[in-house]
Amino acid sequence: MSVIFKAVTYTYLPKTPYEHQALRDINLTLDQGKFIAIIGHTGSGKSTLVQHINALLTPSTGEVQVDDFVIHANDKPKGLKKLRKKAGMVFQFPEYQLFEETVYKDIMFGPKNFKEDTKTIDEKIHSIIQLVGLDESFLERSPFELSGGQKRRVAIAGILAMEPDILILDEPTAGLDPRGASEMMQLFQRLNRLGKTIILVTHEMDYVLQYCDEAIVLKDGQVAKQASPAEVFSDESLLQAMSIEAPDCLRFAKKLQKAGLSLDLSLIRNTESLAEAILQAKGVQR
Amino acid sequence: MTYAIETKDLCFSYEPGKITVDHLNVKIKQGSYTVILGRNGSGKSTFAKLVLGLLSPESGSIHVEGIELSPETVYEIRNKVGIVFQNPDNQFIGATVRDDIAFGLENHMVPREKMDGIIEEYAEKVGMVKALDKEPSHLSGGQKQRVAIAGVLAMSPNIVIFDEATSMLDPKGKRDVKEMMNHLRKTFPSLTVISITHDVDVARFADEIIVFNKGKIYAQGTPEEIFSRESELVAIHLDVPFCHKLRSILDKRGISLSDCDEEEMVKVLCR
Repeated sequence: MSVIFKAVTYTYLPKTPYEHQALRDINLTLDQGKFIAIIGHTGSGKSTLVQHINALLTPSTGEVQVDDFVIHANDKPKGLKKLRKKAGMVFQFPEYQLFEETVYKDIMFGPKNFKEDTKTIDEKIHSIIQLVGLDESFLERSPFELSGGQKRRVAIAGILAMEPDILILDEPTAGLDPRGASEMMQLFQRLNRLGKTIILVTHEMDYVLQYCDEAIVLKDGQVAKQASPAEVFSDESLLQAMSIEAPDCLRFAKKLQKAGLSLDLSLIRNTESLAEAILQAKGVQR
Repeated sequence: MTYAIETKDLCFSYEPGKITVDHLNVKIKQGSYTVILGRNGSGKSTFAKLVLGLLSPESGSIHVEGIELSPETVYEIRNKVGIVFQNPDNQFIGATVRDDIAFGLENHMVPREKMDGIIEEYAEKVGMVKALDKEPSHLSGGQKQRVAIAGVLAMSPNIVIFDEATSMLDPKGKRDVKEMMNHLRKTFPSLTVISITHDVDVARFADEIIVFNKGKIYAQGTPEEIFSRESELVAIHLDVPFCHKLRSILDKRGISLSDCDEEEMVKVLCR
């Protein structure tokens, strides 16, 4: 199921001195099954945009279409519960939302609210805990005695328990150490391969290049570009305007290319693939 | 030799039986730019809180510029040490940038006549003079951190600790704060700058890197020395900068680029 924005604007606190237009005329299609990054400065409208996907915010003008749900400006949307089950949102620092006595109960909270039967929930929890990279021994532990990265996995498991088709993630790697962050990204890649649409708000350009199919660049509440990460990172004038630097591997590859080494930039997604491309260009055998 | 910070057998646990800082012996040189690198839970932020007397050690001692930390000296030590925290929104107090920088000075009972000059001086040093009358909510993350830095510097500390000060910022904000750290070292050569992070790019420019793991020092040395131990760093959940990583992969495949910087690598690879 795809998500379509049609001429969406959103204004915070309209008709007050604090009025602020966060989104301006957004027209976008987010295709089903893709791994999509949303990038842009603090204040460019990234979080406001994604909160429209499960109707936490509704447009001031225009409409948002998620599968067969259509959310128009100014009408009270119906069937929100179903929509929010389809599009699961993981906020920044989701570990702050944990509250139950055990990991099991915490993951159960969502499906229980959706009135699923206990046996189904139980089976689901046992498979989800493994999916997020923890084992069953965690289920009876208190979420509060876990490490930061583990807590975040539990919070994500709680969203996955509602079996969303779309998973929206707002800076899910913030504050994690390099290993924790890359394991988190691998988890999202796994979920994407299982068919879920992943929408990732992030400041980490390395991950955008390495994992995403597509990047949407926001600037002052408008879409500045929607393209493959490789394309976004080769648009020098856009990068400059956004003061974004391309990931090191791509930046370095361009330097090599300029100095005369023939490299296929479209194959480069991380340092490892850059090294492969260099070896190939130099004629070094595997 | 007097160190900026020296700890002896420092121990601390948040809960019994689970030690966070484990017989730690740290020596940080005065006037150095030292990066403390470590995975989540390695004890690095706890170390900063211990140095500031925000937590009390279970055992061991902390000396800051030769003065032993104790209930009697804690305020004297806090006058010497400033800290910039992770989340810029959690440390803003004033309604404007000017008020925010003034907050610390007011607490130190700096006379009004002097205060304005000091505020202007430090706002200038972090490039925020034009924003002095702005509200914090109108600033970007990087700008907020710069104001926080000005507020800390205005107290004329000898030591400034950045505790994950770039981790919540967007790429531009990160770059702003990293540049600011380098700028500080040039502007205040006698200032000791300590940056606590797991961002290896911050660590590249340090005089010295101290790697924490499980509440102990795992390694200590120059960036070159530390980043040449890639597999060990990866094993303790850290990483190495791009240049080192590429060099080591190519090295294993027979292209030797030992000690080359980026420009030299381009030359060698395009030969």
